[in-house]
Amino acid sequence: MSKVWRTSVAVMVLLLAGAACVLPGCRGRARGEQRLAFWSSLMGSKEMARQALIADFEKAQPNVKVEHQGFFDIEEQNKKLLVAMAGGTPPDLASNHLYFTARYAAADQLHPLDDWMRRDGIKAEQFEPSLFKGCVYQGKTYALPVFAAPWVLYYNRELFKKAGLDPDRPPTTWQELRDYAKRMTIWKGSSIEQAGLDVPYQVEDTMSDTFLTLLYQAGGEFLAPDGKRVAFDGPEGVEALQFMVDLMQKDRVCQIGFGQGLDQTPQAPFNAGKMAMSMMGPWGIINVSKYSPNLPYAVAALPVHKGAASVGDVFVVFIPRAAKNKGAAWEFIRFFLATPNLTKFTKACYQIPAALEAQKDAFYAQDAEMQVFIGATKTARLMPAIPQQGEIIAALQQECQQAIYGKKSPQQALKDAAAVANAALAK
Amino acid sequence: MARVRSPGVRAQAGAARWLLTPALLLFAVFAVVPVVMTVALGFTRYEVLTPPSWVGVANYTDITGEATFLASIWHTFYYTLGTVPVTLGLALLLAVALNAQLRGIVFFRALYYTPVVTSVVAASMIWMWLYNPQFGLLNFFLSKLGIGPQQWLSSPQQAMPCLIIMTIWKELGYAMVIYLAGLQGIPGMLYEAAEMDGAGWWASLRKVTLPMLRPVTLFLLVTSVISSFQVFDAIYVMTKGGPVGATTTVVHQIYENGFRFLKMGRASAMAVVLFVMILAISLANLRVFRRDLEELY
Repeated sequence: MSKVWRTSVAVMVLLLAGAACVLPGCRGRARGEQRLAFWSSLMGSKEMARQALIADFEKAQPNVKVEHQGFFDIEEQNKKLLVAMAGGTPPDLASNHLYFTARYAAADQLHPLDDWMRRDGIKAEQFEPSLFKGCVYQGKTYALPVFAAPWVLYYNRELFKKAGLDPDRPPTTWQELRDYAKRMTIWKGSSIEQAGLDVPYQVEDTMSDTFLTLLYQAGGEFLAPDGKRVAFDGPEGVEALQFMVDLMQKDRVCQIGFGQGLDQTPQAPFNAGKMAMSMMGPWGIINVSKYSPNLPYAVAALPVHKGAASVGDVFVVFIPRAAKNKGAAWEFIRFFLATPNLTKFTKACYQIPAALEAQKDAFYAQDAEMQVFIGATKTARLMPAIPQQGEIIAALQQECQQAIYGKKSPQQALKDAAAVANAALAK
Repeated sequence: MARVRSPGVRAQAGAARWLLTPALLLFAVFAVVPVVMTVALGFTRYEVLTPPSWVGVANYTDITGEATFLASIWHTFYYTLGTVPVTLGLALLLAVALNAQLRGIVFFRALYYTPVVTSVVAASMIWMWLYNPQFGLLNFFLSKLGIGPQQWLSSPQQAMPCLIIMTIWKELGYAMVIYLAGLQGIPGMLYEAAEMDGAGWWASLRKVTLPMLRPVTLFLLVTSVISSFQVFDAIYVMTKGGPVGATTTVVHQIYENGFRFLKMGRASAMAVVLFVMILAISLANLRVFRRDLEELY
């Protein structure tokens, strides 16, 4: 064989051998040490709390090493988890928003937790009922709730006083919300200078969450009782969406494009004192303290219409069916949910614990602001835990935007969204 | 005609085959196989967690009847028609201007090329700030001219033109550099002959420069159309297909269907439709410019 042939083959073999040596499987491991692969979206405001939790767990269980992978984007984690599950290589433990787990559970990709719960005395009654409901799919418990982020009304006390309103009397009905917002709105020519209320106009979660909050307050439901159709296109839904459209188009308490791209900056309208009221979850506290610590704001329960309701997102922990180290994963869940650890975590990131015992901690029981959130948790309606959730919410957000922009009537917009949703449910 | 080859040449050909194998293998695995799989998946219903199931042409009939997908095809055409002719036209004029042998001209050529090498995502974020209704520079300058603030990316009518302008800014440099190279290849005596015949600047551009640059224009036309049909990054960062779906394009719909709703079968069908569209337009381009193709050989 020619020299060229021989040298090139030798080079290729060397390169392949080198590549093989760098493969992850070749890393050494201490004898007797267990490895717990943990994927979560506990980042940003929750990052330090999560790091402390993992450190405490490793101290309590010295032979378990937690390998954490964090995701800033919850959708990104959802996608990666789906691919890992499909490929049979999921992590041992994962934590994300509840509404993703329905899809995993429906595809039989989660390990039920009931046996462990029975063995270690963890009962459903220990948790806030509204937060635990979505964790059960077809009779089995697939996830356990850790903390929740219910919506409340944030408002700027200074702007209340300037408009001649009493800052200790926030609005309690839809009519009051509307009147207060109108009084605190200032326009300068064709652009708004101060918005009375935050009305969503972009295709994002705030749009669907706002609509759903108002829908529930109007006495409506997301799904019909038989679960085969949606019910948000009924008269209550139209009333809710019409309320949003009127606020934007008729009362003009906000403007399309106001505050766009300014989230998480000091120039965000609420942070900058250019917005009187906004409906948000507990992350508002962290945002304000980070970007505008001197803002004179307060929180109150959301206004009531035909009933009281809030929306909330609950973070859960769950174990994939193909996880290799389920035992260690359950140990971590038990550790996390133990009251002292849970309260330490949620206090550090200003979240509301789902376990009733943890809610009794002085931090929550004796703080007026936290009590507003605890109250909201009790009326919180969660995103429906069905596999088609993503698609239905996406359609709802698109159609609501059409109505806010005045391109479709609320009836038509909800009818179109319902058409997409019912088609998805039928499959 | 028998091919006579010496033993040395034959041995080298053998070695060449072995050396090409790794590259061909990579190409087959990461390029050919996925394309074949996409075509196959277009005939199935596949939602990642469950295995694919055959549905025939159901995906195709479904998407061709869907208003959003049809709108995305229209938006893709609108975007292409808005960016490609303007980019190529401006690039040609720039190249002619920067072809002058002045001192320091290289600085200007580099300046116009810089946007090409910036990351699309980073550029998109900067432009989002420029377009910001309250704090953006564009509205600031408009206010100095006495014009009221515009919605830009929040306006269904203005959003796509905003994206088009950003793309022209970004892609101009690349076409300019290619045209510059093409200009270098035009023999100077053609211009001398034109001057002797009394041709001015504009006439020599039309009668000498443009015809001589036809092969370059063909190349840029085909590659620009292919890349602008595949626009995604700018839309995903700046408008997410909105507002009210005014800027969604075919690749954005593929992303939404495939990675948001996990409808891989549907997304694959859309990808095949895109492929067919791009192929048809490229073939049409090549046919129009077929004389220039023959010259290249």
